[in-house]
Amino acid sequence: MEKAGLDPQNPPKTIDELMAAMAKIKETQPDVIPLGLDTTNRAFSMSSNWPWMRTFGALPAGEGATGAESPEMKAYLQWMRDLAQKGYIDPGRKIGEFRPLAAQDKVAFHWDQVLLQGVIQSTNSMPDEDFYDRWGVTAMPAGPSGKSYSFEGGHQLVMFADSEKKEAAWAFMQYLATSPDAIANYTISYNSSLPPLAKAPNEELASQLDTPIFNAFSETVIPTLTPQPYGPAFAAAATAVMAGVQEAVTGNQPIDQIAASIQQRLDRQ
Amino acid sequence: MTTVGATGGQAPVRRKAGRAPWLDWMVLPTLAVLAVVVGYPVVYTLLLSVQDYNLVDFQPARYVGSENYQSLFSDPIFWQSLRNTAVYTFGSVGISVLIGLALALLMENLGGARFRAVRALLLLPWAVPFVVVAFLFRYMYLQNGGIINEMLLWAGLISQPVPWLNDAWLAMPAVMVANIWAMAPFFFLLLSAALSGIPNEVIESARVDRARTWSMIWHIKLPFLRNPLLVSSLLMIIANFNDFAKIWAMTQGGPGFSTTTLVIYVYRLAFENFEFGYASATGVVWLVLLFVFALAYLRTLRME
Repeated sequence: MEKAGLDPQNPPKTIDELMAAMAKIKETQPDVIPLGLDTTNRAFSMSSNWPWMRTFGALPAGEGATGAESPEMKAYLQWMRDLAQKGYIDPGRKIGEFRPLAAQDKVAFHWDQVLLQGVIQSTNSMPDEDFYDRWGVTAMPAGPSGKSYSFEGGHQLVMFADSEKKEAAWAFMQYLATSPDAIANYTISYNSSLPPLAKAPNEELASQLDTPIFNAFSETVIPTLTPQPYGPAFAAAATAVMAGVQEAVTGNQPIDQIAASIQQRLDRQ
Repeated sequence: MTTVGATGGQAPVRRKAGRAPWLDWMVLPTLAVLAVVVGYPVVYTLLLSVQDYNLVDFQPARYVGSENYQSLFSDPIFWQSLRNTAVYTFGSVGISVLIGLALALLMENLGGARFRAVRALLLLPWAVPFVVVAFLFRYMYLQNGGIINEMLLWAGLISQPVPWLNDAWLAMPAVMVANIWAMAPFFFLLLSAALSGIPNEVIESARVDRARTWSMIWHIKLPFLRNPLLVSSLLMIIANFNDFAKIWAMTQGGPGFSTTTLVIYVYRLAFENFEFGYASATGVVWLVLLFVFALAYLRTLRME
């Protein structure tokens, strides 16, 4: 950001600011990918693109869906096409394929999870202090609504309605979510994730979680979480929507036509 | 005097087995295994294809008759997948045959250690596992940092990196290039062997008649290669019709559905969307098409 004449302490807060920042990055460092964004066609990509869709006010699937042909969804698709045409994203890469590039300073802004810190440090052996000095976490830029959105990309614990051992399942879930042992040895150290608790269960864990990255996620990102339309039809909806996103990003078909074909595919489900 | 035996150009005549009816029953274990391994999945797929069955729907499967098939025939993605399958299969096999044939004819009369090494190098792509081929090409095609774009930029042939796998028009040819690279050596190997089997007398007499190179290829060599070409092409058509690994590793059927073939579509329907009924109906159509190719293959073998 400094090389592009941007202030690292003042990251873009709106889509317009993000576009302006990416233009500067592209201009000053053509070999850097301005925005690491997963545009593959899979359920996870839909999850990771969902907050961006919500930023534009789009709600293509799920409860209260306004469909793929809404002006908001078309605005999102048009924005994605602009990103690709201006060379701000590198279509076709999975999120994990941006991480080693990020570790080599080849990605400027990257949508990711807490675990990115571990991936980068394992790639470039950067000490914690250097990492916190070089990398920062902020909420995703706000769109026309002025609201910022994000999503919880970790793993979820699920109990089925038909489970015969609900009490045992619940006890196990409580153990995984709240036990200091599980949090220390699995959630933080192994999985490098945030525990699903507002407050750490003991002082030791509180100090482990007191890092700029964990704090930024807890204080800035978590409050912007937006629910995903998870359910039996999610994967099929993801295929329908992400195929359209790919068409918008990589082709020159009119956006109206792409939106109509996404809707057609969603209607078939 | 006539010698009949392994070196005499004819297979030795096997002594006719005595007719013992119980010997026919010896085929039963094989039939039982085939019934379980092949018959059961096929029958179960047929049964699923007439049901509305989504694994994550928590609803029991429901008989819907031909509904899945009706939906299938009005499904634009199915037709696009079918078209893509035909382009990928026949395009890859056709071009591979031509390259393999050209290489076999070029290398036919080249002997010596140097050319043996070249032959071995030409065969190398066939030995590379398909998934490795797919990832190799995927990284070579990358828009940012891919060696193909870097070389074309360096040579001044392009001014902007080409999105080989991220352009709806370029993705299919790009995937086919990887497939052809891996498959052409198979035809080279097979046709080289077939060429070496052409009797010397035939070649010599054509030379005596002053047949030119092209005439020799067209009138003498190609007729001898006809059957091996037909059999190997049909075999490769069946293999490419089922090719999942290369396409999935390179594009996952995208961008959009531009490289989605039938096998990719069936996979997405069954193992991503868990729509087993609809996926089975697609699988049945796929099976019927494969069956036609398999019949053609068997018929060709019998004719040969």
